[in-house]
Amino acid sequence: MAFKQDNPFQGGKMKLNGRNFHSRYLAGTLAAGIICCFAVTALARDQDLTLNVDLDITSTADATAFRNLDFGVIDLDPAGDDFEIDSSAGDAVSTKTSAGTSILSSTGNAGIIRVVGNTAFNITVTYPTSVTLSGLGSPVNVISIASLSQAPDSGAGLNHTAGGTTDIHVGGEIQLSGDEDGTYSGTMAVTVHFN
Amino acid sequence: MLSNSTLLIFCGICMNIFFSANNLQAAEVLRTDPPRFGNIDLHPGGDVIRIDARNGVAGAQSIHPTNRSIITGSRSGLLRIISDTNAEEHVDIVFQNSILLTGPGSTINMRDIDTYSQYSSGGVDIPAGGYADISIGGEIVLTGEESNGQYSGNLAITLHFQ
Repeated sequence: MAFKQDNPFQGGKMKLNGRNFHSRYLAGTLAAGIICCFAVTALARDQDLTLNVDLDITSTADATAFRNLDFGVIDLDPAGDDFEIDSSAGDAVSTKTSAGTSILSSTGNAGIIRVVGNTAFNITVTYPTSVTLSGLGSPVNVISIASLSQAPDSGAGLNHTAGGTTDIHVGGEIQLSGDEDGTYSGTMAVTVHFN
Repeated sequence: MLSNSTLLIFCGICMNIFFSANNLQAAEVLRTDPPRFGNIDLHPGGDVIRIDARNGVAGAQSIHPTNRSIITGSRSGLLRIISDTNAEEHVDIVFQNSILLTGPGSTINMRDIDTYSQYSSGGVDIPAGGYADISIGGEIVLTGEESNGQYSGNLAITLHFQ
């Protein structure tokens, strides 16, 4: 390797392995390369990710019609009589509320809505104003359902304990004229509210 | 006049430095775990369930004072970013703020993801040769009318490495 005496940074010439090259160009190219490299290292970058989010809902709160409302078997006074099942405080059976001579040979029972669930909540029920029962004779109306049943939506409702079973008792009143005969039946639709 | 061979040599050196310098930005995402709200025995009156991961790892909880829904198997999401360089690197994180989770017959809105996740404001510094964990949270609003079943959706996140 042979070099001439000139200072390479003052624009002199250099000879390397028998070849001449100009130091001004060398310095300029080297500087450009360094600037280029430092500029490259300063660049930012982005990365996009996608994550799958999931969950499972398994609500255990449920209400079922557990037992039907049954006014029993009535040996009816031909002049008629009134009967009610007052289950506003809990389970109850049919009782005669008028002065006639009808006989209840079977006292029947209140209806039951059974509620279950692992969480704790309050329950109220929207009852119909009346329900019509159809049979061989004149139709029979069941009335005063909300006032003779538990947890009507006009009140405070019943509190369900987490993991437990809550029975809501359903009653009502029938007013018989004396013309009725045979087996009567009908359907009552209620709405259970979980609060 | 500079010879062609010398010019090529310097360009080659420059390119090598370029590739080496690019390798210095070596922070990368090592692990991703999505946030999981788990199994929810939903209170029939509805609920708001939150994963508050602002301070790190967290589970899902009802915001109702009595924790009215029963939640199991939940956890915040996780991004683990590692660095194998000898220089600290800063990362800004942009979370998609809300997403829809679809399931049997309805959708559930997961919201406030950036609010309840770590480092959404200001980003995080990855220590030289170390790593940083970023926890991911959010909140879902349930009416109580949702059908039982699985709900899912995709969450987009953008990382700005600097």
